[in-house]
Amino acid sequence: MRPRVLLPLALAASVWAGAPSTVAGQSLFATQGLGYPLEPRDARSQGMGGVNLGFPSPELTWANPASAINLLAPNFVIGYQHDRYDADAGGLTIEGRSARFPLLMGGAPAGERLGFFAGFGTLFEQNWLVENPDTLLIGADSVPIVDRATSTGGVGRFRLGGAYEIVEGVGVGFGVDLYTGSVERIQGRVFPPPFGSQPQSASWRYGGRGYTAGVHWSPGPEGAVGAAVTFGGTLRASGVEENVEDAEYDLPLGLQAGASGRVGANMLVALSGSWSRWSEDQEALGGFDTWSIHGGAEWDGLTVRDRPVPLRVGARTARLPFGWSPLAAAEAPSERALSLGAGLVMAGGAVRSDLSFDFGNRGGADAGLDESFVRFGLSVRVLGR
Amino acid sequence: MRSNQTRRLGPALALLLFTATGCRDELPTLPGGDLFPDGALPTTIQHSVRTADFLIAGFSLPGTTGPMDAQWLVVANRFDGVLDANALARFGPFPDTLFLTVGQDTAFTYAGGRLVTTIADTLATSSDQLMFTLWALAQPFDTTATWAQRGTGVGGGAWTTPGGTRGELIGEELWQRADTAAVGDSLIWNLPPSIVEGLASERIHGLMVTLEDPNTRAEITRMSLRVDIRPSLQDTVLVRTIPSTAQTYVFSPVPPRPVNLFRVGGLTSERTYVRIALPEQLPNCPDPAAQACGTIPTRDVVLNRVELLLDPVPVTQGFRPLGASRVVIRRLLEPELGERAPLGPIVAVETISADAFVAPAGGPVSLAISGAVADALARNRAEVALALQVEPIGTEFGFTWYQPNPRLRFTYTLPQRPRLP
Repeated sequence: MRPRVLLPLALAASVWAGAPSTVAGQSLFATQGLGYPLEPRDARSQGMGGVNLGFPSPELTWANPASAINLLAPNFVIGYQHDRYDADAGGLTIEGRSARFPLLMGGAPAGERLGFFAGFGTLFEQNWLVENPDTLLIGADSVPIVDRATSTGGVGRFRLGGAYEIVEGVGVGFGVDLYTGSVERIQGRVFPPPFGSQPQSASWRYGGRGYTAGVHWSPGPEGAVGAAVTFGGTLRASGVEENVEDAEYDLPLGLQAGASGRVGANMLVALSGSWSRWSEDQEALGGFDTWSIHGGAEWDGLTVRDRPVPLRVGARTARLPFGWSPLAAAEAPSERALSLGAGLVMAGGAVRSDLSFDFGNRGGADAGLDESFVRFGLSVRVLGR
Repeated sequence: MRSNQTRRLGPALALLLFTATGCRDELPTLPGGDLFPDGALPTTIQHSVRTADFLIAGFSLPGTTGPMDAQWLVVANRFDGVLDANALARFGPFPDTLFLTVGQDTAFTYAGGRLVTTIADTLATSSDQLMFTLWALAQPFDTTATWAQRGTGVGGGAWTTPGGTRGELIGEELWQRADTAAVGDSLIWNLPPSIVEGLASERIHGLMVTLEDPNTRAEITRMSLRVDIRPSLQDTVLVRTIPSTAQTYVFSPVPPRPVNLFRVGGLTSERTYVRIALPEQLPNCPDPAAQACGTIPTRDVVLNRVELLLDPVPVTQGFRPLGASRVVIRRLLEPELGERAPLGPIVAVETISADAFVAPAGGPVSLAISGAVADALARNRAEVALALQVEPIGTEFGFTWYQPNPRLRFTYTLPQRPRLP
């Protein structure tokens, strides 16, 4: 079975297992705005503090379409993440966990200078449930009720694009994001029997288009520099049922840049940063401008049975676009994490399996919520290097 | 190289999918109304509709059941100062020949017997301690007997003493509810041989149970008679159960039937029919008097509960229920047929405390009719017709009465179509 056969199989398996449109609750911060933002990353990137671009070629990454240059053969990468979190909200402790495929991407060279890619990636996770138990006085009876609002779904994106190597080691790339996914919201007051309850529901399908462009310079295995700009375009939410209001959101302009370089024979150090203009483009959602800084290192001096086993460490800090509560909307929540990771390079570099662990927290004293989390990442990259 | 990579790719993908499918997602759950999306906190409203605004018609119909339709008998002594009731029983045939292994015996004698009845937990009594008296009946009767008449099957004559002409006093039995756990809920009278002989020879025309103390009432199960027979050919005692040929109870006065009230249940199984015009609009806020908020179509709201509120009326002359009444609300099909309208499916069953019919101090009773109203709204019908009765028919002696001014109470939640931010 060849990789070009495996690619569609992996795509189908990912969809079956619940790929981006069915991502589950990852954070309490998903309740506000458009939800919790999810950057598609593989476990190598996650293990290096989330550095997502600027790796030496060939390393196809979601963040930079120009990374599709110098591909050796058709290849793909599939990533899986599992999260556990404990949140402290005003003295209440809430636990949760979720699993998702944040990244599924494949690319193929077309001649010596051209490369194409396609993939699915997550964008926003919108799974949450809010409950408010209360008591109503009906006649002479005190009736316990629960007000409940749930959201199930999320926004994903299907990306198509290509890259061109304009001079040796320098490429430019362009991609089009087709937004996809759906969300169902159910809300209502739940009464105990014999009272009747009939929660109201509405669902939307997401659509729209965004664009991304990037540049990548990788003079060789010693290092690389990359940068990308994302024009979010318009995310449209079309009501599925009659009388469900449509909605439109202007997704923000985003910039990302990253670089990596070898320090010694076996150590690769990588740094990246990003910025998005949420406050201007989504003022109605109470969005904050976001930024993030990522740094990590990879040591590939270890081998097991002649197979390289790269070890990784990293850290990241970021600001999230939406607060967790309207009451805490004045403060932007932040997210910080330390990460560890390892890989196993097989088949002479044609197959690389990676895993990662993130230990972090979100929120902060002024955000109204403190959420600690552990994220496990697993990914497989075939013929990527 | 490709075969190697393929060999390793399979297990890697399998591990990935196994890990993914082995996980169970949990929806993050946030407690607290402050966290609800804007406008997502529901509003529940309670709204009462006056009688004149919804009642198209309401009337009660007399039932056709009587003492013979129940599996129990009523005994009362000046209950509520008025009601008397006596339980009557006749037994036979008694054996005239015993077929024994040693031969046929026609010269046997009766050594005595026992009359047994019970007050099961499901039966109602006016107090936890009652003194019952057993009498021999001096005149014959049948199951059509009334307080004044002995019954058409025995010539239609009147009792010499209304309520059953008493013969010999057989005995008294004290029943206490507290005893039921220790010795069961049975009442057992030991009958002397002369009484059994009298019953067998029809010198005694039956047995009658009365209550000793005034202002008491009880329901008892049908009576059974066991007699002890001493054969002339053997030195032994045989026990035989003698079947009952007639059991009933007679009472006085006849049940009142106030025409200006809604009547449900009772000895005669009264039923009440109501036709309700559903309001097309309901208030759009909890206090429309204080806030001009307009109305909302009834079919657009989330109906949490719709109740028919009825004010109980004290039931007179001793015919009030002693236990909880099980009022069944059925949909009335083709209500334009009036009292001949066929009954439809059950809408709700409500249990109403007997206390509601003693004094008028209590509040209204609530009959939930949410299902019928929701169904009518779903079918675009503007009217609901209901029948109120006690089921199974003829299973309760006490009547329930209500003022003919029902109210309709809606508890509903305003619709909120979810929106995206």
